[in-house]
Amino acid sequence: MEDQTSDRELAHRVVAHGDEAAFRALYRRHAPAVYRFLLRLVGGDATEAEDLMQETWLRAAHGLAGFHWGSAFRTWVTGIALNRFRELARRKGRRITEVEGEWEATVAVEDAAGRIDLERALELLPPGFRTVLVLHDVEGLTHEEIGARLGIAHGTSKSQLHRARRAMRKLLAVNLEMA
Amino acid sequence: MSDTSDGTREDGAMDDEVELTPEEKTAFARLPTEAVPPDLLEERIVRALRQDGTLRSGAGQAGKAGPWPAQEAPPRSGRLRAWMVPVSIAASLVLFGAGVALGHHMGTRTMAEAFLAVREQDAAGLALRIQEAGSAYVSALAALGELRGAATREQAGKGLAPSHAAHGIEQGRDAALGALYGAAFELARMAPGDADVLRILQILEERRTRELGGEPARNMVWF
Repeated sequence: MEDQTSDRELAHRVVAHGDEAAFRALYRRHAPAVYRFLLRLVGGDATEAEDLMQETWLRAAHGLAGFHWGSAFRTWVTGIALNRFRELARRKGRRITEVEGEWEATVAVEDAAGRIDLERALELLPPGFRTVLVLHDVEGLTHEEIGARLGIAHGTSKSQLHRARRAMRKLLAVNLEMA
Repeated sequence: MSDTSDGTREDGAMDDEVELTPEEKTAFARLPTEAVPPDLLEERIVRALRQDGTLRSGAGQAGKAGPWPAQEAPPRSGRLRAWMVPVSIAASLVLFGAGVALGHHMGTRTMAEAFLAVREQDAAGLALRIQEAGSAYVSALAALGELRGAATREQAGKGLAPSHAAHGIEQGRDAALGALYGAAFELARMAPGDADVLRILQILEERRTRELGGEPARNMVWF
């Protein structure tokens, strides 16, 4: 069964034989997690997330031969996705690695039942806050890992996270007041 | 990613004020970890990888070797041998001539043939083209919007009158509206019973009528 084949075996087939079925199996196994990750980073913009997905998987396919399996395949491809996101932010002039000042929440966040919608709150945060919050509180990266991946000091990541959490709470508080 | 996702961080204590509460930790843990990407995206990626030679459409079965396994590819010489030079030049001339002939042939094809070629494409291929074109359309519009914002800020900062750049941006906006109208018209033709599409088309037609000074907008034939 294809589903039982390891990522490494599938990757080997792609590299050695250009095996389309093996690539599709790898893609279908990991694309949903990578797509969710990218959707969160870009604040729910499906068009941007799809473009980033394409860039990510093309890079991954081209770089498979050089991947030494020092980490899980998903970790590796998620790292590529994060780099593509950083590149997009740089092209569009979005600041994701600098500490932003205090941010005022002015938008109500609620689902049909008037409850807190954390996903929506993440979408509404400024990119700099959202990025560090997603990487730390959703993906579970440490500040050292975030610093290394975003090219910032881990202290900067920490400060950014503090402000991001405050901003998130303000956003959710607006919701609670209005619910 | 790190394995330390249980809220216990390696980076030491943080301010209590910004530590996640148990409820917040639960809320984060409950966030969905996956989202299914559109099917067409997979096709788009696979097609791009086929085109650049990374994937071979014939190598569909897992474990089946493709025609040229990477490890067994014949070694290439980095230098041309003497006899290869005239042969290469001759081959280049033949290719050039063939290209000119092909270009001439393509240029003389009738529009009817071109339409026939488009129609012969399968629906999935056309859907893929629409997605790609739509993506490019939205990206270009986003870039135009950013350019507009930058130009406006610059003018406001310097107290300048609208520049050539602003004129170009307006042209881009008009082109975008025209394309939007064309797309709505085709959608309405494809699904005449779709009330939402008809409403969009009606709004765009009214706008075009206003901008054309009251002339009816349906004079244009869309292919």
